[in-house]
Amino acid sequence: MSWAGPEDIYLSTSLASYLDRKLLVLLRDGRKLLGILRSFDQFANAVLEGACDRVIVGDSYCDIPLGLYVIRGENVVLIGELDVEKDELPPHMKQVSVKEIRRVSRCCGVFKIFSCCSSICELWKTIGEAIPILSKSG
Amino acid sequence: MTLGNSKPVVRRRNLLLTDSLPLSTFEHRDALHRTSLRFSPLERFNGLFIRLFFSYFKDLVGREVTVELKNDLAIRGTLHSVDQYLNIKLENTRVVDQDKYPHMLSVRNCFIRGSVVRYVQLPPDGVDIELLHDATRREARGLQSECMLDFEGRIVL
Repeated sequence: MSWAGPEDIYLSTSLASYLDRKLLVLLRDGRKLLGILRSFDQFANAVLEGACDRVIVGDSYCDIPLGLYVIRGENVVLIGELDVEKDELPPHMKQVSVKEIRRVSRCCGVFKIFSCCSSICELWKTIGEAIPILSKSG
Repeated sequence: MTLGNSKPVVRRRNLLLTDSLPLSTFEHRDALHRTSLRFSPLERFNGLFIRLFFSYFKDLVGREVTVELKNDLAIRGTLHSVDQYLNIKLENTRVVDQDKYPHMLSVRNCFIRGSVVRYVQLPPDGVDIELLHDATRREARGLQSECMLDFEGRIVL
């Protein structure tokens, strides 16, 4: 993001048009922060007021309040302007409490580890079966 | 610092605009002039095609593109603007796989940091390959035959 030079007078990729608006900021670690943009700079560093972290697990979500956040620009993936006339999320999703979403995300994490382990086991089995075939032909 | 009139190179430090460059000095610049891709000597000295893609994307403003990010999110939208870091602003955005990204439902305009872009998918008629080839070839040739410029833009070789 740059301050518009003389030749860029009709072209502006600055975040100035997003100031004082509620935005969705996607971060590199997958977090989704919502908040009002109060400040930015040429590195896409941003200051979000009233920021909350929207955690989505399956069909449930929760907004964890964070307060005033300063985000380093290198972690920013996308800054999106939310359309106030539209729903922020699909209607089938339901909001749950912070405790509930933490519990669900922990379970999900464990489930992911289990499924990873089982797919790794499958992979080793396949390799084990393939080696005698390969050595016979090779 | 003042420059004598005999020196062919105008001080570059404050000028990134190439409009003021003497076109006769570099003959290939005439071809670039036609393609609207212009480069200042300092940028060419850097050895990088810093502004080649910037200028190219500037010409694509208003076209429908799909930006695929490094986190596998693909966003389709109208290219609103681009800057020197190749940050992209899109309008009328919609996510390609909407069900996977429910949080993006109401996002219509977005700013995408250049560093997270993996691909920019263009409309097939949005690319004049020959023009791009010519500009790239000329730049490469220009870089080879270019005389060395110092920080101030004065010729040293």
